[in-house]
Amino acid sequence: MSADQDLKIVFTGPMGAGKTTAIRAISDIPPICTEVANSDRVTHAKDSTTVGMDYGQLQLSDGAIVRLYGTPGQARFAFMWEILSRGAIGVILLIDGSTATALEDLGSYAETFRRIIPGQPFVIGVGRTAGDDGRELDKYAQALADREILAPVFGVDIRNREDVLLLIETLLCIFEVQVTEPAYAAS
Amino acid sequence: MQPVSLPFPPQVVAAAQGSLQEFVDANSEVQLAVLTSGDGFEVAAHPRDLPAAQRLAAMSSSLQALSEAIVREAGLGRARNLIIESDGGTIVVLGIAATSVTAVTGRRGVGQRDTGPPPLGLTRLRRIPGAQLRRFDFASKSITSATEHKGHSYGNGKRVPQGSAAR
Repeated sequence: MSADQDLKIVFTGPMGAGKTTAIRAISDIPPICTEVANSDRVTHAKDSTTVGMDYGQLQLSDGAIVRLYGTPGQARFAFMWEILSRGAIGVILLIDGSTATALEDLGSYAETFRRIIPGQPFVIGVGRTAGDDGRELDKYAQALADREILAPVFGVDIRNREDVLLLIETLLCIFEVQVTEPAYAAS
Repeated sequence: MQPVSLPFPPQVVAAAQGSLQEFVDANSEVQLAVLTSGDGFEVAAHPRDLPAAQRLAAMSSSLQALSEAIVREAGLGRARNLIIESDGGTIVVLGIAATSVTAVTGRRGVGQRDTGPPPLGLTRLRRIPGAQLRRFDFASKSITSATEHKGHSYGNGKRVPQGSAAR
């Protein structure tokens, strides 16, 4: 990866999954946020919610800049999902593992974003999981496999910078493999 | 995913609908108007059965929030209103405390989809607690008068004119 590369990554997932928090945890610049008061306390009890986008930047050791875009979570903002996904090299999908709809959310967001940016890699970060044995995460991997979507699944604490960086590094690794192999095949 | 419509208290919706009607009556150019919560829920719409109201409400809150973000970035304080001029008309997003009104003016049929949002002006009122619903002059693109709404929820019916509200 060279310094002249400008990489765009999209963070998505349902309301309250931690998209804004994740970008805040790793951005090198003060993140741009569009949070407003949340009037839908039925879906999530939090005070504020993103209605436009989040934006942050992360500089890699080789000088490349990763541009981080966070989407609103609610389906009524689906038009922003498409706008923000233009030109993205991959998607980090965050799921709140403590919610009753976690597996359903995983399936619906993965399928939707698979359609919005087909062929680009996914990495899944599941937060607030019960315990840290791998069996908990197996359910999520299986839910993806059932939809024939191949993506690594990590249990994360999205407030933790190292955890969020793990998701990004994994996504970049998959992306590099994808862009490298065609060149290898052609030579 | 989650249901789109959020039940605001009936008296709030009624008050909001009344305020919006006054706004539309005072602005004959307005063809569509949606009053939304800050987080993009439709509270009231004109016409009442406006099919695109929920989508317009969500888009309005995104535009409003992005406007706030760029004004903040530029160090200009707080955003007030957003004007979008197009081939077929003008869309205005009016920030009103924590709510907004989106109004659309213009002529139909100027390269617009039949099913899409009508082409004219769209004004959106954001939060109504302590909100202002203003007369918007679409010709001069300026606000020519204002009415102050006071209260802690969407137009609770108490309308208190403020001395400094006009102009």
